[in-house]
Formats: sequence, structure tokens, C-alpha cells
Amino acid sequence: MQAARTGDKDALDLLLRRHYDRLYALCRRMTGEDADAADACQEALMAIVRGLPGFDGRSAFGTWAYRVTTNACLDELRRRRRRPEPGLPEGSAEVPSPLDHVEASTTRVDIDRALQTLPADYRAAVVLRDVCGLSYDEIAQALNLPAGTVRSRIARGRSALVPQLAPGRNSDPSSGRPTST
Amino acid sequence: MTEKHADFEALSAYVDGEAPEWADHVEGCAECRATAARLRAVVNAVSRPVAGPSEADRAAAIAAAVESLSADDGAGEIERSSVVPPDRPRLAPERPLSGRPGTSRPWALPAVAAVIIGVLGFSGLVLSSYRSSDDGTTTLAGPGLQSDKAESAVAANAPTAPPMDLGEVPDAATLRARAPTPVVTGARSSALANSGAASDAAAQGSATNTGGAGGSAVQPPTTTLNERAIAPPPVGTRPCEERARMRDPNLREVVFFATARQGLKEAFVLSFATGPTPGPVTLLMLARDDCAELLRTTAP
Repeated sequence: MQAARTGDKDALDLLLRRHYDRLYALCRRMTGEDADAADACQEALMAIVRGLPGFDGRSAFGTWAYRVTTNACLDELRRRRRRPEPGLPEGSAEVPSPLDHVEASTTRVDIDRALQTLPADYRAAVVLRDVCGLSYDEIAQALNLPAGTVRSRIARGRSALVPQLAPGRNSDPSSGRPTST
Repeated sequence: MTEKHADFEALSAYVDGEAPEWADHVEGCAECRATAARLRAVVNAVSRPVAGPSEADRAAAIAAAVESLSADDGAGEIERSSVVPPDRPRLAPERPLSGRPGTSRPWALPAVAAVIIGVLGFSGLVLSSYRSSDDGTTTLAGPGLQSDKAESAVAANAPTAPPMDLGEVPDAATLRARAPTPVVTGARSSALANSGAASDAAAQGSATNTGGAGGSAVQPPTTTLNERAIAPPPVGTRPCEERARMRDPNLREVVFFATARQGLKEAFVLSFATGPTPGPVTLLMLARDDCAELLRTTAP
């Protein structure tokens, strides 16, 4: 880590390789699309490289990298909103993916579609928790939010996901429940 | 067991191990257990492994990022010498590639001061037209002012070739494919090169950075335009260029300019160096009407 910060290319390469898969997964779940994920991930890597000398180590490198990557994803989503819809999302149609063994395409589309229904802020919290495995405190650091807000966003995000992804789709999990005051 | 049910937020936190105080209640409450089970199903779905890119794409992405470090620290000087043919003019003047230019040059401050005084008079009309036509971003000191000087010289002295049009550019991949390899050409590049540290200061976004052969910034470009020379109209692209730099201070000088379209939107394509050139460039496609960023990508 220290070597990477001082410009050691091999160390930097190793550092990026170590974190790439999780950063890409974050981008993939945030953007819901391979091409956008690749773009966002590339931007994130460049930003990490540029920002590494200034990384002060107050948080773990991973948390910081997730923060940078989340911001890159949000930028990518903002750009995408301005683009005209070309039709079907890239890669979502009949072309078989060699990686379909990892995720059945229908499942993948379901998850992507469900996640894309969430506001980006909620999606970021949910993805950082469920894909990246960050604790609420780490997510709070990464998103620069109070931990209570993180907890609330994750819950609201999941509340919207339950009818789409969990059994008993006809029920609204967050309605009609007594509160825990 | 607590009599009160856990609300959805508490159960969500409980599922994440962040609210262990609800364990006893959930254990004995069928309704809360059922909700927790649905929450776990969501967590399991979202956390399914994501299909990553191919190993080649992965390696290329990491290599490009690592190489951007080389571009930043100027380690690529040898490669640059071999990549740029000698008959092509360079964007930047020959100068040390690392460190802030001019910091050890005692004559730099007076030189830049002289340039500023001279150029302000020369380009006053152009600058004022920028300010009246923009929302104020171009009135920022530093990059905008320094770059304006170079462009004013270009606008006044250099012929302007018709801009290259990239046509319909729907996505980043198309943008990367159509944008030519950044080549340092033309009036604007020459002016930027002639402006020495003035353009460096602009590129590095430092309003206080001084130094370099700033005195030549007002000189007409001495390099002959080649066929691909493109001098963007200063008033047209300047606001977008400045806004792009405000959004991302890492953007340096523009090394390529073109026009494009995205649906009905007319756009500028600006290719910004992010380090010494040649090197990775950031390609931005910006809406002509409001400078909104339509596309962004990085090219090696």
C-alpha cells in the first residue's frame, strides 16, 4: 500500500488487482449494465490512482476505494440519464454470455431491474452492504452520511426490493407492521 | 421476548447483524421471522456473484490506470519522443515534465505579469463577450484567464479550419472509436505551446502558478497549420471547457476538438490531456446548448 502510494507501479498494479473484482461488482450492480460498469470502473481506477498520493489513511483503503467508485458510478448514471435510450440495454438480449454460469441471465436481469428501480442513493447503500459487505459504519464513511441514514436507506431500499426479489411478492413488507418504539 | 414487533428498519439491521438486541424477539416471533427471511432472500439475491469482465479487459483497465500514473509523473518522456513523429508540432513546449513549471525561475513572475497586462488589453473584447454570454464560470481567475489568452491569440491570428465532425455518437465506445489519436496540431496547439507556462498554469488549474516563457503567449502561432488543424471558436467552446475543468480539476489542456451529435443534441467533443502529452486523454462530449456532460471516456 505504501509502495503504491509512492508510485511503485508493481505495487499499484497489485493493489488494483486485489480490489478490482469487488469494485467492478459494485459498478455492475450500481449501473445494471456491463458497458456502463466497465466505464465507471475505469474512471474509478483512474481516480484512485490520481488520488492515492493524497489518501490519508483515516479510513481503510477499501472503504476509500468504494467511496471513489460509488462516486464514479453516480457520475456514470448521471451521464446515462442524459443519453437517449437506444432500445434494449446492451447485452441483455439473445447474445449468450460466457459467464452465464455465474448467474442465469433471467435472474441477472431480475436483480438488475429490481435494483434499477431504487433511487441511486438507496441503491448505493444496499449494494455497498450486500455486494461489498461493508458494515453500516463503513458505508457511512464511504458515503459521508450518518450511520442512521445508512440504516434507513438500506431498509427502504430493501423494502422496495422484497416484492420483486423475495418470496411472497404480493405482500408489502414495510406496511402495516407495528413499530418498535 | 420483547412484546413489540421490530419494525422493518430494525429487522433489516438485524439481518445485517447490526441490531442484535432483536435476536430474542425474532426468535420467538413468527411474523418477524418471516419478514427477516424475506429480507435474507433479498440479500442473497443482490449478493449473488457478478459476472466480471474478461481477463483481458480486466488487465487492460488496470494497465490503463497504472499508466495514467506514468503520464502524471512524466515517466513517459522517452516513449513520447518516439511516438510523436518529428514533423508534428507538439502541444506543449519542451520543458521539464515533473514538478510545477517555473517554480525555480526568478524571471517567471515578471514575465507572466507582462503577458497579463499585454494580453488583457488585446483580448479584452473577447473576454468580456465570454462573461456576458456565460453564467460566470469563465470569470474565474487562473485557468480560464490563462487559456483565454492563448485562444485569443489564436482567434486573432490563426486561420480556423472547419472542425472535424464525429457524427452520431450514442455511447462511449463509439466516441473512443471515432475520436482520432490525440495529435498535437494546429493553431490552438501552437498557441498553447507558445504560451509556455501560461498553458501549464491553465492546465494545472492553478491561479497562482507562475513562470515559464509566458511572454510568447501573445505571439501569433509560428507553426504551420497542417490539414487536421482545428482551432475551436473560443467563445463557443470556452464556457464548456471551463465548466468541465470546474467539475474535474484534473483536466488539463485540450488536445483535440470536434463536433458531434447525440440524437437531436448538438455537442462538442473535447479531448483533455490529464498529464503530459501524449498520454491518456479524457474525452468529453458536451452539449452545445448547456455544456451538460453527455459522455465521458478515457482513451490511451
